[in-house]
Amino acid sequence: MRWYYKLPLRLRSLFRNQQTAQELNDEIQFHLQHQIDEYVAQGMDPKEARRAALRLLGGLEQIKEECREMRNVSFIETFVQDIGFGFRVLRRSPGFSAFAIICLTLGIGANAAVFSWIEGLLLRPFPAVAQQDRLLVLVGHDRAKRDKGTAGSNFTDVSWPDFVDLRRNCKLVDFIADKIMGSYAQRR
Amino acid sequence: MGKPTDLVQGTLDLLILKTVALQPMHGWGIAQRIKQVSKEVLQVNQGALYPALHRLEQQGWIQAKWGESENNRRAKYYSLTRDGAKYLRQQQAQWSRLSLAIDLVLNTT
Repeated sequence: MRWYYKLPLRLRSLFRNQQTAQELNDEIQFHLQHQIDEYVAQGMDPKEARRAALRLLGGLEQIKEECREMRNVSFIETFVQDIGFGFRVLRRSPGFSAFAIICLTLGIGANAAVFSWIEGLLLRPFPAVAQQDRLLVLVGHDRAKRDKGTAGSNFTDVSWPDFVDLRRNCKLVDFIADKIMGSYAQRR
Repeated sequence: MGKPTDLVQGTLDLLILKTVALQPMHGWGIAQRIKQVSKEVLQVNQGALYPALHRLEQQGWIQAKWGESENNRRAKYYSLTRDGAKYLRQQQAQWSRLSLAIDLVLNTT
C-alpha cells in the first residue's frame, strides 16, 4: 500500500517495541474485560467468567504473536535475537569458539593469499599496463619453417631492427614494449 | 436458528472494513456489531479478529487511534482510510458478483 502510511507504522513497531507490545496488551485486555463483564452480567462468577473469556479468545500469547507477525517486523526481531543467541553460545564454549575463529581466519587468509598470488601471476601479469585485456603478443614468422613440426612452431622472436621499426612506425598499437619471451604491444 | 456459522474464509476482512466504515470502533465493538447486524448468525472468531485488525492496519486500509470508550476506558479505535474505502468497494462488488453467481447455480431447476 502507501509507503508514507506504512513506513511510520513499521518503524514504530520496530523501535518502540515496548510501547507497541504494551498497546497490544491493553487492546486485548480491553476486549477481555468486556467479555468478562458480559459473562458476569449473565450471572457468572467473576473468576469463572475470566476463565471462560480467556477460553473464548484462545491462547493469549498466541494471538499476540500472530499480531506481531502481521506487523512484519518479526523477522528483524528474530534476526537480532539470533545474533544475541550466537554470541551467547560462543561465550559458553570459548575453546571451541577460539578454534572455529582461528580456522576461519586461516582459511579466509589462505584463500585471499592464493587468489592475490594467482591474480598477480596469471590474471594480471603486467601491473604497469592499464588495460591488460587488450595486450597482444608480437611474433616473427619464419616462412622456411612452415609445414614443419607442430602448429606455431614457425613463430620466431622479433628481431631488434624490426622491433625498433615497429615501435617507431606502427600506428595500430599504442605502445610496444620488449620482453625476453617476445614483444608485447597494447592495441589502440 | 442453528449454531453460529463459521465465517467463510476471507470474508472477515470484508466484514471488518464494512463495520468500521460506519464509524470508528474498537475490536470488541466490531465483533459485537457483526454479531448483532447478522442477527447472531455470524460469530467472529475472537482469536482471528485481532491479527486481522493488525494486518489491515499494516496494509493501510484502516488506521488506529486511542480513545475513551463508553465506560471511560482507554480503547483502540479503528477507522477506515481512503485506501480502505476503495478496497472495500472493490471487495464488496466482487462479493456481490460471487454470491449472485452461487445463487444462480444453486437455484437452477
